[in-house]
Amino acid sequence: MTLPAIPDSAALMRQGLVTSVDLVRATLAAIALRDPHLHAFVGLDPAFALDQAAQADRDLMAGLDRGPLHGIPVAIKDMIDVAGQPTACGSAVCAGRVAQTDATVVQRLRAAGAIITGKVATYEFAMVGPDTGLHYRPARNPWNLAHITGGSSSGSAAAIAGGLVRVAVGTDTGGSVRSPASYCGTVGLKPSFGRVPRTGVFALAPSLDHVGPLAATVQEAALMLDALSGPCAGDAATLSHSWRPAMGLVGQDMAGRRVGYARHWFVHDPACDPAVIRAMDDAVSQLSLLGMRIEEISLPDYALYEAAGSVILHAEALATHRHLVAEHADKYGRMTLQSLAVGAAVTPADLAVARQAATLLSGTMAAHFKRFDVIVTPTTLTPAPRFVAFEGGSAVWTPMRTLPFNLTGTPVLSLPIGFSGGLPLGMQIAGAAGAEDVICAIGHAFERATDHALMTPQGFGAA
Amino acid sequence: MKNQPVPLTQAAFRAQLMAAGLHLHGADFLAAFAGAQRLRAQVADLADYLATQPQPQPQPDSTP
Repeated sequence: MTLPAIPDSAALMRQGLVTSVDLVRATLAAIALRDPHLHAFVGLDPAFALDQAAQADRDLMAGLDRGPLHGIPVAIKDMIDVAGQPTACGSAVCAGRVAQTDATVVQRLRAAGAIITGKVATYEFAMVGPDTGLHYRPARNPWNLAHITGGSSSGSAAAIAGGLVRVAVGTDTGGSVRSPASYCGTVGLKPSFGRVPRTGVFALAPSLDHVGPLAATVQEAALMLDALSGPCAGDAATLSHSWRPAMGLVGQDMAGRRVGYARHWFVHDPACDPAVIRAMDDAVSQLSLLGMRIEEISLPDYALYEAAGSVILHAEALATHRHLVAEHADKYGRMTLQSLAVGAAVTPADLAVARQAATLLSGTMAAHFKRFDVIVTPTTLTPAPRFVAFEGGSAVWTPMRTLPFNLTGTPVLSLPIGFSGGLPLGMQIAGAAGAEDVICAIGHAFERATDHALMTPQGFGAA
Repeated sequence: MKNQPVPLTQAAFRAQLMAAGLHLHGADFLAAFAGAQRLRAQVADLADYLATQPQPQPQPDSTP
């Protein structure tokens, strides 16, 4: 059974034609059938999931309707605490560490009636991968099992693309929601910094860390984000904001919206697959057909955003892991240890330069968002690489355009725009801080006008 | 004039790693060292960028 889209499941449940228990049973059956190939799930408690679903059904029968996610199965990245379940962070370092309480985002999903189905794979500590030498097997791309999923929210994307769940929660410090979404042909939504609390989520680089949903469609991503959003005393970054609902404009006419096309960020990059250029040009033409006003824009060089983000990320990641790595270096994977070590080369003066540049680069981006509703650019510059490229034990650079929006803290949506060699490609739609409603509405309009979201992997491809 | 990356020797990087409590050897050390050199080049590029940006003007002294 292919799980229906959340609005369809919600309608069927309220008509009494399907129950949450039915949905969870279908999810568990799909996991049993397909996850031996995909390795998306690292933790599963079927009895507990069915208990939650039975309670959701009883609540609905009693007239307690918790909203659009009521009774819907979701998956949680293994960087995020679920009470009573291990949070291993994809690492032997944390193996057996059982969370005592739910992360705030998990609490909010439960309050919204969602069913926590299980934990899904992550690159080790959400940092680098896939590392085939680790205890935890890397998730595989449902479009072709010989290819990686991207990361670090690898299991979240594989589970959705593989039809195991419709939605999942991921984390994104440099593209970890959007890169796997792009490689696996799903939607990924990195919200504004401070919109979704990170309490109960294992940190990587606190000034760049975000929590956000992955989903089969834009509308489902927006529904998830609205359930996750809002202030939390445990995360100071969330306290001084109020947000418009991400669903607020979904379904409305986006004609007349101004789209800045950051074509110069990728078109001359020798690492860019020509199919990405064609798919992006086609996608932008589609936005034009929807009545949006397109203009090529000239942002500062992409490499500057990546440089500032990279220096800050490496410095903060080492600070996060300093005590853990001092005690357990032998349990870390080689790629993670190599990546953490790079942070040792960052001096306080380097970090000051990077932060000053980040402030200026963010200001320039903010100025562009005064002229444009959104900026579009590819998510990744190639389709998902093959696993064989990662078997040398060292990290492999994969070209993408995700890190700038962690630096600016502005919201960005990745959604499918086509294929190259049978593997998905993705486009980012970025907006000003708090403009999740605009990027989701434009993404939804694009999705409705194309058939990309309807494509599903057939038989998981040939290995 | 373009900023040149501050040179980083293997010995200096090894000292930085030890100060951070990290001990890498062989291929792992070389991979991390290559990453550290790339980072130094990126810092130089950022310094170049900052040098091209308008400097904040000092505020007039309003002290009577």
